[in-house]
Amino acid sequence: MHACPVEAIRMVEGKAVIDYDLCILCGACVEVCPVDAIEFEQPSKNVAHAEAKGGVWVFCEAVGDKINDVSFELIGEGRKLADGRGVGLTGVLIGQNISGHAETLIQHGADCVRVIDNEGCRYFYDEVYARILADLIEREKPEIVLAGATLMGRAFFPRVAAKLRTGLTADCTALAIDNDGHLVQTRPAFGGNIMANILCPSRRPQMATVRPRVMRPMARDSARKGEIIREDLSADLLVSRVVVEESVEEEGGAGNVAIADIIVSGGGGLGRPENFKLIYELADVLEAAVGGTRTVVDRGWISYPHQVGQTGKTVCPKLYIAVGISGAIQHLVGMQTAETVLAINKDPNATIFRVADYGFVGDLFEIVPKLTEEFKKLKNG
Amino acid sequence: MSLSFDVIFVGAGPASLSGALHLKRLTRVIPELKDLSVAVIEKAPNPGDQSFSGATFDPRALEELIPDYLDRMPPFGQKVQREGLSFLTKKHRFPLPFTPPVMSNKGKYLISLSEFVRWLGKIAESEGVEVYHGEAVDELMYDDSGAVNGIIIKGKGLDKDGNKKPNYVEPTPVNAKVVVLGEGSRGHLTKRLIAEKNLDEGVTPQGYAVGLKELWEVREDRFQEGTIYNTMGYPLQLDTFGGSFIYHVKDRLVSIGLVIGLDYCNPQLHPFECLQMLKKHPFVANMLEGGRFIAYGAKTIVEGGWYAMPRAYGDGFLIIGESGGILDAMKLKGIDHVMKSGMLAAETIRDALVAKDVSAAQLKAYEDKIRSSWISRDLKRARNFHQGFHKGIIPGMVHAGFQMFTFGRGLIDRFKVKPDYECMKMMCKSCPSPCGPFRPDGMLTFDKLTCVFGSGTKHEEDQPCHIKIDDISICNGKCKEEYGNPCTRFCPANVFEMIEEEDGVERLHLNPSNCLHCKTCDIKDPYGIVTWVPPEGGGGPNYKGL
Amino acid sequence: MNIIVCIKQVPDTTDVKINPQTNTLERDGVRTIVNPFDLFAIEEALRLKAAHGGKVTIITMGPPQAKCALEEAIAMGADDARLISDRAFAGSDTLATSYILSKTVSSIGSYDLILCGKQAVDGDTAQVGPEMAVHLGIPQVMFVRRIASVDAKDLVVERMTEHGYDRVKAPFPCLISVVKDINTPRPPSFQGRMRAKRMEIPVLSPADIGCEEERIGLDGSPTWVERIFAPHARSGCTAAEGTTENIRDVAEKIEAKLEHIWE
Repeated sequence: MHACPVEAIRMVEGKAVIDYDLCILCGACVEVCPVDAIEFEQPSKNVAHAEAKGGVWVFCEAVGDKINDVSFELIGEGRKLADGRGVGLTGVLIGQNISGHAETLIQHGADCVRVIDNEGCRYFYDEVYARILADLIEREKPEIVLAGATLMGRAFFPRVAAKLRTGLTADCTALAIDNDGHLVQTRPAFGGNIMANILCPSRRPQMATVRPRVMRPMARDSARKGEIIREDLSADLLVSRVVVEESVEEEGGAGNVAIADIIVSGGGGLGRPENFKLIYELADVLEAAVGGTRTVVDRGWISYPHQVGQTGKTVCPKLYIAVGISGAIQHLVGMQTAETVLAINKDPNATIFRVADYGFVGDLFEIVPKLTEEFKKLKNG
Repeated sequence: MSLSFDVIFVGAGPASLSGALHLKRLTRVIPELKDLSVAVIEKAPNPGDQSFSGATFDPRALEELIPDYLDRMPPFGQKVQREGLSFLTKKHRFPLPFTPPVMSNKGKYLISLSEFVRWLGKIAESEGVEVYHGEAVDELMYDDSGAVNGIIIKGKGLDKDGNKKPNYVEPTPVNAKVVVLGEGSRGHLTKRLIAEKNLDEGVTPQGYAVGLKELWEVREDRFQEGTIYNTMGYPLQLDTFGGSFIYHVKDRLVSIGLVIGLDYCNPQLHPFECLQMLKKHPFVANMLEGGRFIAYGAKTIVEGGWYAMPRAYGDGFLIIGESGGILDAMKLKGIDHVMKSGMLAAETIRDALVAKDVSAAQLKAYEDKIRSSWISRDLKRARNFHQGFHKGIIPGMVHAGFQMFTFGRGLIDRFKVKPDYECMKMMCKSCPSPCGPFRPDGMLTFDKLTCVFGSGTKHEEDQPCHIKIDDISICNGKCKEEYGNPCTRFCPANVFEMIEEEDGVERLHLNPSNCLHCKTCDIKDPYGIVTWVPPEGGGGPNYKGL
Repeated sequence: MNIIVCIKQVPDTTDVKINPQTNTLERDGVRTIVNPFDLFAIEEALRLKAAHGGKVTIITMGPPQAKCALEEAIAMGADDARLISDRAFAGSDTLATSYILSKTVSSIGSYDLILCGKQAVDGDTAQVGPEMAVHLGIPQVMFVRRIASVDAKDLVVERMTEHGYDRVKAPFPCLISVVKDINTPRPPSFQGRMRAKRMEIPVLSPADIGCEEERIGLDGSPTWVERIFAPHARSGCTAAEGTTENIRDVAEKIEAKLEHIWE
């Protein structure tokens, strides 16, 4: 009853009654019911997809003439899925002067790479890329198509899905094949507070954008061989109503706490503003962003964009190091979906240890420099 | 375009909503008033978000207002079937053999006030009352003769230093023929109006209590639906007026609350810690074992009673509900009384609008109606109740006993009392913290910040601090010595903190975004230098089920 | 300029509580709000209207209480609104939703610009905008951080890229999604709230907008949620002493987990 975001459930004489006029079919009630009393009737899963013989495809993103690392991550993941389905893995490369990357993609696990190397693809045009990819998909009929959940991927992939009237799941953090051969797409929702498994059983291809830096690329095998197909394009595919007037590179963005993979955060336990130096040193070695609790921001030891917590930023890094942070609930709510948490505090009963995977109790002024030293050694060694 | 309504109610609590609804119904049948524009203006972002109480509810005013209320599915729990008054020591409980009939709540409904207000608000809106949320009223407007003729809605978009941010919205004046103040306990507009118009001339200084409450979901085998407990004694000492209430409401939800008179004298008293210690008493701990903490809240309660009620009418205005000092301190009940006061205000306004006269002389009829209603009967019976406890629990019980048989007159009719903030004694070595040292265990007891989180309170961070301190050097100097900065203890929301700065000296820091809008600070600071005004509209607690 | 802004009423995801006893997440009693990213879209629309004249219409698909989201947008200054609400729409994924919204846009008539917020904070997909653009056959520019100039026939915007931004010209009609950096949304004014309360907001059904039944609701949704679960529950740890050996041990364990970041 309390889980329902639209207050559609009331208790009447001890039984839950759902007001179907209010219900938005989000499924939250199904999840929390301790006795599984609520069922969500889903359409049938077992649909034959004999036509989708084109294997697993990965859209390989290139910006200018450079290829984005996410492409290798997706080839690595795509390889697993293709093997699971017993089908081939194809990379699709769209851009200008990017043909040279095809070989590398094959060496990282692709069986085939379809290359669209054309001046008209020099800039990223949503309509053009979408048209090209949709066209290819309609012709070759892959069963799964993946792209990175980058600005580019998230912009044009939905257009492809809409053209093909198929399902697309955004920003997946895990992919798998289930017993029926369908792609299980796992993704966070509610700001990372819950995870959802999504299926697209009745349509093909199953499309997904995948969060960068989550999947692992395969090691490069320079002996690996595959097929490279240069696709010819008809001119009408290259028409764009939008025009890029210029492309500008900008500094910074590095150290943005909201998107960093590693964050080193300091709290009131640091004692004085100068002691943030310890945090910066550790962050430097780890190539991490620097965060702070509300306490240190209020005191002016670090600026507000670095604040992590209920009234600051909610972060979901791979590693969160909490130095001198007690773990007030307002802070926890901003970082407790981090993959790994390491906490350092002089109080063994500090609440932060309840959400930490690793913890040190003791004097942070001794522990943090040692930690910095160890990571430095590991990085260089 | 100048904005105006015929009648504005400030604050969407049970008093204003009842008054507004009643007024629309009364005027619908009068041809020249049938399209009366009635607005209720509330700072909380959603209906009921900031309404908070125990609560046991007597539906007598509701029966008058909405006779078919049972058909409209009010969000009530069970009726009170069992009740018990007991005295607690640290480890033991001594139940009284009976509950004095005048304090009995048997047969009354157990409710959540926030849900009740939500429900009542929907009915009011469906009948043409315009309820506006997310807007705070900053000031009243006056015409040249000094009559109230409107309100000013607080602007939004000033930064911490008072500069306009790019999305700044100006304060908005809104006119009205009559403004009704239903702000609840220690309303800030009411406080200023009383001072400006000397409405408290000749009345006893108003007194208050602070009530803190947690909502828990308990195990099935610990849930006693329809049962309420009231206790006195532990964790409070014999010199402090107060006690606890434990209500088993519905769906395994239990409210545990502590009410403490703000006339307490021990500067070390820490109401929040006392509530936590109460939960550790074996009687309560047993009830909560294996249960789930859901929410927390706090508010002040007006306790001065009959003799402390200010004049509640004037040129162009009326004051209803707790703002007007209406609450039965003996029964610790008031929802029915404040609803009735709203309805009587509605009747007064209808007559005034028909007579086209909203002067004090015309609106005085409100006070006459209050005096001849059951509100005054109840309040008169309780008129010396809280004040009888000024010298401690034992004398208080003696006075209360006598009052019971003399319809409230008791041994002393009309005590002389000091305002709450003057009651605090200075720090001395023999004033230990009454609850003893406190360490939260995270399962049954929690630290203040965790509970504040459980109140759902949120504010726009970048806005001027809404708690004004006239002279902070007193906080950092005199008060440290004399009272030990009691604000760091009496605030139930960790707004006030003494923090050691770089030079090693502790100074007062405010965390206004934790504020629960209870106004304890405005009432209890011993120097009278703290003033609470509402922050930007839309901020504050988010009470669901409380 | 005729601008249509698509908004969504969502649970306040920052309002989600943690149970202090178990450290698990609770969604009891969460407030509903206008999707924060949509506020930027509404604000941008209002600014464009102030500079170039025209009309701002807000549309949303949702249960009946989504009306409050529309009222808030009107209170900010929007001129008109539509609520698309019917049981038949429930269970719609992004494809179905985008179809429904695009049919609504068509039913409203002519427009120059559709504005959307970057994504909804409950679904976090950012898909509905581009899918709408396809149904309507119009171009799009996504993740726009600034509208640089507006002409009779087109507009020039800055869209975010991984390394900076592109300056892009798009013709009307087109669809734009905006990011947080674009502006500071104004709060609703009291005057606006009065207007919103007194406005009749049409509620549209599938028949009103001419939807094909098989393209809406569960039937029209190729994706569906098989399971919702909490992310891995944290069990906490017992803090170790800060000896050099312990620190080395933990550093190695962590480095092993994160290895490929440093590659």
